[in-house]
Parts: sequence; C-alpha cells; structure tokens
Amino acid sequence: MDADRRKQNDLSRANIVRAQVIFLCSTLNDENWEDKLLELKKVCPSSMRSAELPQLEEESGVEAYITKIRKFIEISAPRIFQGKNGPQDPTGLIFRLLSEEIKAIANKPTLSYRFRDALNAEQPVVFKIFDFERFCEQIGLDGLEKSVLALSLLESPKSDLQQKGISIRSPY
Amino acid sequence: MIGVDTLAENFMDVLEILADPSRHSKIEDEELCSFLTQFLVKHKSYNILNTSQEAAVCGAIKRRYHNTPPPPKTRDLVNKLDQQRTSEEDKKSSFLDLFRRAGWAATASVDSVKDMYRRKGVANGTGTLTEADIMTVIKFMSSTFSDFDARQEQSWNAENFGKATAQLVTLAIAWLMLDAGTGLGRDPH
Repeated sequence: MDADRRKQNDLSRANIVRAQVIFLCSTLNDENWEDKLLELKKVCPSSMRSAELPQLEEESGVEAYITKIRKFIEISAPRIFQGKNGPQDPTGLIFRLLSEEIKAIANKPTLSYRFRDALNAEQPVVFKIFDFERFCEQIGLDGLEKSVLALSLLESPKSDLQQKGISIRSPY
Repeated sequence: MIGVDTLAENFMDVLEILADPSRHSKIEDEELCSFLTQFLVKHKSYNILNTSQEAAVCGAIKRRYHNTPPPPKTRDLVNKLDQQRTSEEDKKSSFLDLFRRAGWAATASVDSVKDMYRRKGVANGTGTLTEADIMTVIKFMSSTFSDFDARQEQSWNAENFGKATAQLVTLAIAWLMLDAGTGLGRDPH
C-alpha cells in the first residue's frame, strides 16, 4: 500500500515538474531569460555530470530533463528543419540552449541514452518523422558526437528511428 | 537505418578525431571507454564495422596516446579487443602465414617458437597441425634463410625451431603416424 502511494506521489511530482519545465520553456524571452533559465536549472538541472545522476534520478530529474529537451526541440524545430526561427523562439535563444545541451549529451556516451529517450515520442509531428542528419548538421556536431548519438538510437524502441533511412524528409 | 548509416558515413571522421589528442582532449576515460564499448562490442550484431575497421579504431586510440600514458579503462578494452582479433585471425591463418607475418623474430628463442604453436592452439590442445603444416614452414625457412643475416642473428634460427617442435608436437606426430597407418588417428577436436 505504501509502495503504491509512493509511486503515486512520484508520478504526481514528475507531472508537476514536467508542467513547470514546459511552462518555463514556453515563456522564455530576451527580457526574462536569465531569471527563467535560473528557475529552469532549479527545476531541472543540466545533470550532465555523472556524479549528480543518482540524486537526480531519485528526484525524477531525468524525466524532467528529457521533457526539457523535447520542449527545446519542439520550439526549435522551425529553425532546425526550415532554417528560420519559429514564433516561440524569435531570437534563437532556445535553439542555443538546445545546442548546448545536445553537445553535452553527445560528449557523454554514458548518458547518451537520454537523447534516444527524448526522441521516443510520437507527438508533436517533429518526433514522428525525425530528420536526424539535418538535426546534427544544424546543431553543429562533429563525427564523433554524431556517432555517440547514432549509437544511442540503435536501441530506440521506435522502429522508425531504427529503420527509416537518412532520406527521411523534414516535417517542415 | 539511421544509426548505422550515420556511423558508416562518419567513420573516417571518427578515426581522425580519435587519433588526434587535441580533439575532444578532455574526454574522460569512462566516456571514451563507453563509446568504444558501444561502437565495437555492444552493437556488434548490427555489423557496423568489419574486422579491419575495428582494428583501425583500436589503432587510432593507440595513436592518440602515443606520447602519453593511455587511461586504464580504455587501454584495457583496446588490448582485450586486439587480443581477441589476433586470436580470431590466428585461427583462420595457416601455420606458414603466422611465420610469414612474424618473420625471423618467430624463431628468435625457443619460447617465441612455442608462442607460434600456442597461437595455433597446439600447446593447449585445441588445435592440430599436420606434418605437412610443419614441413611447409621448414621449406619456407630454408628458401628464405640467409647465412649472412644468420651470422648477425637476423635470420631463422633452426635450432630454436627444432627444440620447440620436439617438445610440443610429439603427440601430433603420433596422431599423424596413426592416421597414416590406420586412418583412425584423427584428432577428435
């Protein structure tokens, strides 16, 4: 019974954190970005240092982190796949944050599974047909960094990520 | 397949980066080891790399740490992969090929000759050599022997070869004799 209740509490907490992350990402702009970024870091630390991982996992940090990456990708999608900043990121701020996070993941093969997990979504459409090559090109990853992320995709539960070739078309 | 295509397309780039200590210079031992494990071991079933490409990755890591001590986890993994690959190659190679590749160093001492037998599994009983295998090596040594080089200890050493062979292949020769006489002497392995 206690275990069930704890599980329920964890789920509720994870949902609240996810909602906070989505809200903070959606309201970032040039004027408030320093404050919002600070808040975002409190809710969802960058968590790239392995030593922080156990604590973060206890605190649903990984899920929050993945939610943040997904939101960043969603907001930056017009910039990545269309070459122009979208309405939610007119100055490309979120794209810059996304680039930093993706570069950090791509330099940590022990944590690269988070990239795979971040892409393991069907909605919005950007995740349904994800142009991995273009994504890497726009973020500016080198061969080793691309390979680190590509290796993580080999274990993706999404068959399209494993099986669709590089000729996948951008959704934009 | 996205992952595999990307890995194949970026292979040469990855080799260059791995061999160059100035690129990704701060990569930690654990991270590099994790990458190599995923690339060369964990996802082997995807046939991302052939044997030569695997060897090239290990070679790139050795070049990266040519002037500095390699980090322990990465070093141990690369050494293990090198040993596995050599062992696989040895199994496929003929006894003569092993001597061809090793050159006169193969007979530099009795132990080095024994090592050649060990690589064919003779010393631990997993491999078999026929009389013909050994004769081919002796013929090869005779045809490439240089008296001049031998005086400088830079040619085949027949004495070392003879001593090691006498110690290790008695059983194999016995099987051969049986085989020749009765046709029943095949090694069950």
